[in-house]
Amino acid sequence: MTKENIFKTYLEDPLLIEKNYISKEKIDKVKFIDQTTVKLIGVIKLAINGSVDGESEGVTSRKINQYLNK
Amino acid sequence: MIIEKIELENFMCYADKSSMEFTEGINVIIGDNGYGKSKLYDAFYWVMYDQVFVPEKKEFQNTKAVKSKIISDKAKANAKDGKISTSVSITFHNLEKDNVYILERKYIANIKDGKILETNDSEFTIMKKDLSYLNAKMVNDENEKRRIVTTILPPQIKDYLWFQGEQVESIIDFNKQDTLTKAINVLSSITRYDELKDIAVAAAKSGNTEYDREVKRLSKDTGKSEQLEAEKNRLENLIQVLLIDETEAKENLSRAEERCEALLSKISDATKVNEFQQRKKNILEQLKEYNESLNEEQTSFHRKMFRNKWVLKGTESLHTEFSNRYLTFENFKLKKAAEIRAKEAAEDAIAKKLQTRLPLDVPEPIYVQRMLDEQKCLVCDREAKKDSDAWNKIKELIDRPDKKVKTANDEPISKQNFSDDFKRLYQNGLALTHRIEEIDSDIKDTLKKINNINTKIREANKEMKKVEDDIQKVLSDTSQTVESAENIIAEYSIQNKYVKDFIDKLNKLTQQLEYNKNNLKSVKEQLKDLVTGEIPRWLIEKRDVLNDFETIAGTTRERVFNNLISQLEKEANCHYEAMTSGNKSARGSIKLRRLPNGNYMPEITDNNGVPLLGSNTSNLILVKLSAIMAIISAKSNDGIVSFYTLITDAPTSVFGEDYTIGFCKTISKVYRQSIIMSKEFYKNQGLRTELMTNSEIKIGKVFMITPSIPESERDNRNNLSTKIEALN
Repeated sequence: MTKENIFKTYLEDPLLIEKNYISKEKIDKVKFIDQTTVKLIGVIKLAINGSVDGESEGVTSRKINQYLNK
Repeated sequence: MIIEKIELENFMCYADKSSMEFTEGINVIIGDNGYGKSKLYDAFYWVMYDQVFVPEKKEFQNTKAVKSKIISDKAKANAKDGKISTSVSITFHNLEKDNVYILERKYIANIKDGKILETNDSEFTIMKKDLSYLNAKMVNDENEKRRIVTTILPPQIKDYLWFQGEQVESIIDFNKQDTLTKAINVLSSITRYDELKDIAVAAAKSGNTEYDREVKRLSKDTGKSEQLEAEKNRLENLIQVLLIDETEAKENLSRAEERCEALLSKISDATKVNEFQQRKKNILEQLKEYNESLNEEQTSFHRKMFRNKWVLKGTESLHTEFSNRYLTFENFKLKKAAEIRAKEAAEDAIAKKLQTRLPLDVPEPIYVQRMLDEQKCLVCDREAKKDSDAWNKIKELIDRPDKKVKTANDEPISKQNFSDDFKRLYQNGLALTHRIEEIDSDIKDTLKKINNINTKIREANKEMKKVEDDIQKVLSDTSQTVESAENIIAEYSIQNKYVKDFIDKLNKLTQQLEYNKNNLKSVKEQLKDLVTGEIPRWLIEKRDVLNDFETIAGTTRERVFNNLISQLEKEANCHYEAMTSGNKSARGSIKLRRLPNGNYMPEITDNNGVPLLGSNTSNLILVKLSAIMAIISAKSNDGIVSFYTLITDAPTSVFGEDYTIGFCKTISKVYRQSIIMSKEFYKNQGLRTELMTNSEIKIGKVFMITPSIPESERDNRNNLSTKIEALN
């Protein structure tokens, strides 16, 4: 299962639209490799990268923390 | 990857050299029990895993443990001093890449003075052809060898591809909660979503802690904040404990529900057995009653000879005869009495007459005697010669009779006076005469009653035999015993009670959790109210994003898992329908039901989704086989297992012949190649013909295996070998 597949599965969650993180129109066009300004999507991508690349949970958590502190 | 060939040399019952070549489709090895099917399965397994199945131990054991037992007895018997060996090699062909792997395992032992000197281990070699037409090269790197074996048969799906019929129950053991969850893990990368969920939970926790720290730092009342913080911690710990309790209660509830579910398939049979047992008990009680009545009737039958005067049967004429005689006797008696009375009357008349002529003792008897002696009447002075009328008249004065007094010397009416006895006998006889008339009907009634009881006993015994036959049939059909049936019913009742208790407990825990979560929310709001100044926007956003990430990670994992379950269910139903299409008794479809703890249990439901009770064993096995196939086939995009070969020993032995063709059709559709060992086609020629001619079955190679010595005559196995005959 590729990062893109996992990412797409996460994007299917209605909460993203319900809480206005992204519009329904845009959500189909988003790709894993695309840059994003939506912080939740950024966090999801960091987590997927960490998991698929075999990072430890601590390393991925730090990366997420740094990303959100910007 | 398909298996092209297996070559055996002196492996168990396969003495000398033998081989089988296989193609795509369903390859079938036909043989009766004890013909060497399982040994052939062992040969495949031994090459891959250095293990063979030891029936005595009911487990797979390494070559180190079984040693020269895997060498054919014939080879051992014919061996002279030197080396003796067995080997099996399998040729795998990856048709897509056109490369070939030849895996060979060999075990060598030494023989000295007729004794076998074992070596420790088997030798395993892999030859590889990068292209099928090139020469094979030996693979020397152990890691590469392991990789090749893993590629040919990945460990996580091994159990679903290579199995023996009797293992089906344990491969998909519905009593184990995580059977399907494990299968889902095989099917998918669900563990990836579990990892992501863990990351999300940790990140959310960290975000919340950072936010809480800031709230505390900005508090206008540090003391109050600390107090609220302590309360918050207490509530969080309490909620944590309650959540653990809730998980535990859910686990327990699931276990109880699963147990109920598992018992549900047996409960109808167990109830049937129990009902039959109850009927048997009732019949036994009835029989006891009948036998007691019969005993009583038989005992009283003898008593009735006297109590009911049956001994008098046939004596009616005796009474008549006695009556006649008694009548005669009575008449005689009356006649006699009349005569006596007449005589007495006559005597009385004479006495009376005499009394009117002269008074008694006048003249006095001494004078009368004198007159008689002198033969002269002294009254009239006339002569009265002896015996003359005058003399007799004088004599009458002496002999004049007195009033007759009855004495013992009187003549009796009869010699012995049984008059009273005769009368009593007559009266008794008279009373019995009516009874005698009823004896026949009384005996008839009694015999009828005994006959009725005997008939009832016969009927009860007949019913008892039927019930016992029914019990035996149910027991053999369901593999239950009377005790296990009772246990099943008792356990079902207990587990049902557990289900109710755990539901109650879960409801209570849910209420407590709700209450404490509300309290926690309120404490958090109070803490927020103490904040002076403004919490940085980025921190609030960070907390919210991480909490949403945690939520999304949880729901996404659930959604993916549920999709996989649906996919598995759909796939399993495809196989189940295909396998049962030719069987009228098969019904329903497979439904994977979610348990409170998140695991899934399969059940057979009708068109409305209502669980069907009392599904037979064959159906349940087919559900399991469907699930096994689904686990593998759902992994592929087109539902066809192209890369792996299914090898199974006697898979059809666990269900009826009715399902065999359906099973073969399905197998040949789902697996690009399968190798199955079966006895059903040995016994049933019609089934074999259908296997080889049915257009819906993609048939590969079919072999018949026959041992040189029948299983029952194998005291001496020194000449045992197995003949392999290709049928197509």
